[in-house]
Amino acid sequence: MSGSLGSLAMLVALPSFIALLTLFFWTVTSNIFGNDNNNDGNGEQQRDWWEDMNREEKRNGLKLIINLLGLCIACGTLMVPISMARSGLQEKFNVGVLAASLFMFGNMCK
Amino acid sequence: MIFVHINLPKNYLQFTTLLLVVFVSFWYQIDLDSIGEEEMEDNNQYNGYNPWWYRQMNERELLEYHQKVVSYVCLAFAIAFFATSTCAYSWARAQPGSLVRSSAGNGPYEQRNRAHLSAQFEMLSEIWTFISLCTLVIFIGLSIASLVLLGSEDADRMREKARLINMIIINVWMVVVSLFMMFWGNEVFSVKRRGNLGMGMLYGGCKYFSSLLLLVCFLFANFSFDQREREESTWVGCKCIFCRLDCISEYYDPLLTRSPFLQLQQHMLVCFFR
Repeated sequence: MSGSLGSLAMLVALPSFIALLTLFFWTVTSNIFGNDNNNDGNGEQQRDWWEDMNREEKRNGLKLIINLLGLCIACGTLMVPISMARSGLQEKFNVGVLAASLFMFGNMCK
Repeated sequence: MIFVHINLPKNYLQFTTLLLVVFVSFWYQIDLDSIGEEEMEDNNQYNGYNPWWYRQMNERELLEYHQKVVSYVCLAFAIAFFATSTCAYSWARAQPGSLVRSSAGNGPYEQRNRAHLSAQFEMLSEIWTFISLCTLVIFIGLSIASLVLLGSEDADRMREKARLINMIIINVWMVVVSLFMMFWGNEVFSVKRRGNLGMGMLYGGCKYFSSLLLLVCFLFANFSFDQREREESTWVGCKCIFCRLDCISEYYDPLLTRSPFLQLQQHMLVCFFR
């Protein structure tokens, strides 16, 4: 039975992991960090990287990317409790680990 | 085909927590800083997702668009994970306790040094009480500080950017999660009636709670490469506290590694279920 629970958890965790990875790469490759529309109204087209990173949009974009990366890593590590719950050894302990891990990861996503 | 018998949560507290999660998640989605769609329609002929419009967005609009997408996707994941967690917990609670595989006096666990395990148990219990109380006090302090900021001179500026509202909501939610962790841990360490399931939940909860704290730290971290901005920022104090909090969270993993947990759950099985 815990194998079915593990499969259910895998069914939720694996698409989440793929979707989070997709979101991560989508955000990284977006124009948030591109310089094609970098005009802030002062006529300054050329900025060096240091000054550019001081802009609030860039900093928030960086924060978003770091958070997405953290979520991806955490979601990837969920595979460990899932596989242990599927193994069937020490069932209640492993299902407890799985339940708490999923609950906390849900909190992380929120 | 996967078939899982889903037990609806019978516990009132569990059900209330689930409702609270959905409620807070809903409110958290309100982004007060986002550009109104009507304004977007006027400026950029926005009509939902349009690749042309996407390419024409400036950095601020693009960032807000990405934040909105990530926010909605993460909310959906959060609900799915909470539901799966509830299923797993309900199923595990319904199961009878695992049998102790050792026979009296001959099992491998009987040969262990019980005094050593009891001392380890007491030490973990005290560390748990200290860490969870510290976490709770810090988050309550941060919640009060963020509420006090509502009346400050910078409140209007911060309210415009919705940072303050987000910070208050997240702090209050973290207080709820910390309270949950503290009571759960105390129940496992003091009452000692959850056995395998309780220890498993405590172990898994600790690991991912530390990750949650780390993520919150990143969320509030105020990246600034400019010294002047760093000094002017209102959020520096909060950042420092969160970084310290992150340091505290780093203690979770080395202290609560899997092997003492496994030893302790076996000890509990032997001592309290026989």
